[in-house]
Amino acid sequence: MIVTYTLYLALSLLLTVWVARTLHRNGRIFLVAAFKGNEALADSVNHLLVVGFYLVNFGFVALYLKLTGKVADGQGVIEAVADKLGIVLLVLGAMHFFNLFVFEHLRRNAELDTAPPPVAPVTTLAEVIAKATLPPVRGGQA
Amino acid sequence: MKALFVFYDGECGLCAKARAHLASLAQLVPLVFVPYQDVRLHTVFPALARLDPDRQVIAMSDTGDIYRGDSAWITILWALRDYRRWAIRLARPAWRKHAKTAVHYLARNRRKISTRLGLSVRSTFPD
Repeated sequence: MIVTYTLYLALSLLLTVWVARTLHRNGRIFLVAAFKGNEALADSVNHLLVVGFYLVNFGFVALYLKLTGKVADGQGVIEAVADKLGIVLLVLGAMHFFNLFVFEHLRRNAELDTAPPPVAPVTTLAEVIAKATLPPVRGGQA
Repeated sequence: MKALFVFYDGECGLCAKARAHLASLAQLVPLVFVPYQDVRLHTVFPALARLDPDRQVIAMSDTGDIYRGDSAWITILWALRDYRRWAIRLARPAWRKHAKTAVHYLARNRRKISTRLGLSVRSTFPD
């Protein structure tokens, strides 16, 4: 039992740290874009997100620790650890994609805020003024 | 862009209704609505008449970019927080031609539609 728990805890913690560090490293660029180049704010939010990620995952790993059945032999240890670890990995994966979704959502919203008008102007005030000495042309594109 | 001026038909009930609705929405770029019949507008911007504001809605940015008809509508939508995504979509060629058809149909028939819907009209600007 102790071996199973130790293995489970060690592997879960390692995996969580690995995913969190990946997020931290590669999520930064999304956040810098989302906060319009404000790197200090991006780094701060990035750090806070990773702390949240650690808390949720460690919390889940801790709660999910308890085994219901007895573990008899080596085969049982591997089966029990794989069983637990599989669920932990799925939860980590879901969290990871959720984080990606949040990053991408923030970035797209920021992009939208600064997007230029999607259509070109038909004319400009300067052009209208320049033509003001000419007789007015009726029609145009109606 | 800091502001978008919209020169619309103040004598058309449908347009007045649309104006009231658009003005109530959250704006990323402030919209300033002026009926093209407003005599004060013609004293400051007589060249507006050259743009045929009676045919199609005209929108002008604070930097002097002028949009007309469907491009004016798309730019108005772009100025609205919750419709910017739609504006970008409508600007794509596939959607644009339908937007153009719809806007031109509405512009041509706006008075008729207003009467049908029983939307009241004003006839003096400023009132």
